[in-house]
Amino acid sequence: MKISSLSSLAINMGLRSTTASLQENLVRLQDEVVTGRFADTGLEIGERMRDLTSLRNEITRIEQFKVTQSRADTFLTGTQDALSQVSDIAQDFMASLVPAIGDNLQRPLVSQSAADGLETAVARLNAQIGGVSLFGGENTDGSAMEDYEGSALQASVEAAFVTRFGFAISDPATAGITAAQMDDFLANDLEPLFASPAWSGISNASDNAIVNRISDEVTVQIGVTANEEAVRDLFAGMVAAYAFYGSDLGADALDSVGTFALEKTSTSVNGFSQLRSEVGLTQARLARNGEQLDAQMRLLTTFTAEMEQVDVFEKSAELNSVITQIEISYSITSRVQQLSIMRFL
Amino acid sequence: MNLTLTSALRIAQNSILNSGTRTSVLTNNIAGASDPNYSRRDAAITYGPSGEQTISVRRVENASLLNSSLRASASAVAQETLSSSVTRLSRLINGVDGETSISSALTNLENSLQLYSGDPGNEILASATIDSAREVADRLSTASGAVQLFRAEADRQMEQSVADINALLAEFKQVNDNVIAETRSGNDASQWLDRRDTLLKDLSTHIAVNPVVRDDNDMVLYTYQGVTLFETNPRAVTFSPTPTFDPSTSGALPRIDGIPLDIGSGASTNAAGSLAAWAQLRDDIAVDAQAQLDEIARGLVVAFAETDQTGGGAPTLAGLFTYDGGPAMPPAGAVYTGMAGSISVNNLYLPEVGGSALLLRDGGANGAAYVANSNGDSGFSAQLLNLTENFGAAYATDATAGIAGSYSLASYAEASLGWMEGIRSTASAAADRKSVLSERFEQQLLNETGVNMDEEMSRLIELEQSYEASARIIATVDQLFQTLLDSIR
Repeated sequence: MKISSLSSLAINMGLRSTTASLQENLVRLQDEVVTGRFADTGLEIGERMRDLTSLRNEITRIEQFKVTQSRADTFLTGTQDALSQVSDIAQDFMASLVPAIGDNLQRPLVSQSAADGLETAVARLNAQIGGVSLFGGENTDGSAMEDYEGSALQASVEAAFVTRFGFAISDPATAGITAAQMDDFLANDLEPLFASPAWSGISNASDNAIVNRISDEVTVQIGVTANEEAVRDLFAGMVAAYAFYGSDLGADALDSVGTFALEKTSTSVNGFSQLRSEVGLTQARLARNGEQLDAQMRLLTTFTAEMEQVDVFEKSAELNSVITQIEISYSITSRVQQLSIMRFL
Repeated sequence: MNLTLTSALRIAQNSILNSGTRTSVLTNNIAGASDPNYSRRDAAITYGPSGEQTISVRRVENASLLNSSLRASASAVAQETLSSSVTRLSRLINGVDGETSISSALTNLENSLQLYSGDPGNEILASATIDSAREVADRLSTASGAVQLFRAEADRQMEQSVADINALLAEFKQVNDNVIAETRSGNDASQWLDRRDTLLKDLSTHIAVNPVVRDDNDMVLYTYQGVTLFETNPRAVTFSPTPTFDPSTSGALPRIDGIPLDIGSGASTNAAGSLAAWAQLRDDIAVDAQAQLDEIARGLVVAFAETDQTGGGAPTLAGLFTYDGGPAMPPAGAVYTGMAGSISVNNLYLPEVGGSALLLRDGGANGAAYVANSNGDSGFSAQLLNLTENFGAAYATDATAGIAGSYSLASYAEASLGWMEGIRSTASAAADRKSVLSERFEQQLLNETGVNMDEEMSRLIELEQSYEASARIIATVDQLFQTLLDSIR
């Protein structure tokens, strides 16, 4: 007959398995308290690991967008700066041109200032940031503009003159050209040279501005190209002045050139302010996008934290109670092991 | 009077003899106290017609509790196998906490592409993007290889399991024969019965059995599928192992008495015994995992495919990522088995073998008609921007890979990770539950049939006293006889 339904082995096995499971908990809780995250997130949240991975991926994507964004910002700041310099060049040129119209004494200076203007404008338009040409558009390699001196554009200008009048610009016969003839030449022969395709005689830029992706499905044109109307106008004005102010043209014809150059240059100054405000708008848009990305990032970080982080206080309390339980379990084990009828027989 | 004295003597003698038998039973019990497979023996006393006691040894049994315990232990073993193996599979594919997952490699690629699209003339960024692309392709092939090795491993485990089952059944046959022989000859079969229960417990870790006891303690074993596993003789359990696995291989199932084994299903598996769990891992979970890798590979090939830019109607062909069936596109909306293993970055994009990373920006890996950057501009970004957007574009996925719904490339990879972790989490929780249940049954069985030392010791004292009393009786009767004989002399 059996009095109790309890085997000695079962008592010991029970104690063993309790201690083992408590120790497993101890390891897990230690890890969680130290890192503040689940020891094994996948085990804890299961299928929701998909959402967590998605959130984590989204965070790295936004970080990448911010890299693109800051790069675009630098690029636009550079563009803004270069545009303002080119606009200054146009204004300086106008300042030297205005007194020369109708005043023979000032005329020789115009040729020089046009030459300087062309040189510095080309230099500014060839500005690069990180090896990328600011004004080259999609043609980012090398320089956006070539030097006027020796360019294909210069050759076309000279050839157009020869075609119209039958002699070169440097020929003294130019003195016989009237103001009306000059006006006609400037409007109908010279001006078209600054439209495509002849424009490519000096510009290597692509018509397409660089496009950046600043957020999902959102792309934005970064900067302007050297093929913009304002740049063409500026060059038309300066090229006309440079080509003819050093020649033997009569005073009236020279004033025609001066008027043409002034008109073109002042249009270009307007054009440059227009371009600068467009670039400014893009910069503002990028800034807004940046704020949006930051806000998104904060939200995603919060969500991620909610999914994978543990309450450290709760976990340390749990850890303490597990340690206490293990201690109790040890002391019970040792006392139960001593509890034997043999000691009393 | 004489007669009564003699009978008193005989009874006392008998009692001493019985004390011996009972002491031997008790000693056996104490010896078996620390053996979980030992069933306690009881010495039952019956009285003969002349009042003498005879002792019969009875083995304490609880067949229904044993059956429940066997069943629970089989389920626990299966669930434990599934849980730990899925954890291993998940580590192989995704690393700890998803660190080396396909999903993270895809995000890296997308980020490289995003960075590159901002500066399309930068060849260093182009090469970096190609590197990220190779990382994705490498991870897919590594994961695919790991999944197949995992299946081969499961196959080996099944082979081992079948071998163990056959060995156990062979021993079961001997032990069962001994039980029958001892029972028929009326001897104590307890020792063999203990051994037979132990074999049942061992068998249950491989396959759940339903034991039925017939006349003469003969035992018949059925599986829960209803197939006879043992009747007088073991039935054949056969398995033809497959040494190596590739994604299109399907391994053989173990057969019991010619009938194929039912494999387990579900994360909280209905498999009982490790054999069915390994079969489920090999033929269900690992196959789905492979199919998902293949779907991701297909998504990549589709996302980076090149289309005819001239409007000439030439077919869409594989671009940056190609595979063993490339450059033709794989059939839409269906798993292309084994694609994850064969996906690679097209050599035309690799600078070290004479290719150009800039093809990524310009297009044209499949000839002039596929060139997107027709002006040859170094800052051409349209193609790169398209490719970047393709990560988020929906593509038709095959629901037979275990994940239903509409996904983009990026979200499918995330869903695949979630699928795996979901199984792992469910399996682990179920393993905890089932092993607790199994432990409880085991403990209950142990309490019912195990030995309590204190009880045995107190019985020993009882026996000691009864022995002393009987000896005293003999001494007293001897004295009585002595007195009687003395008076006659």
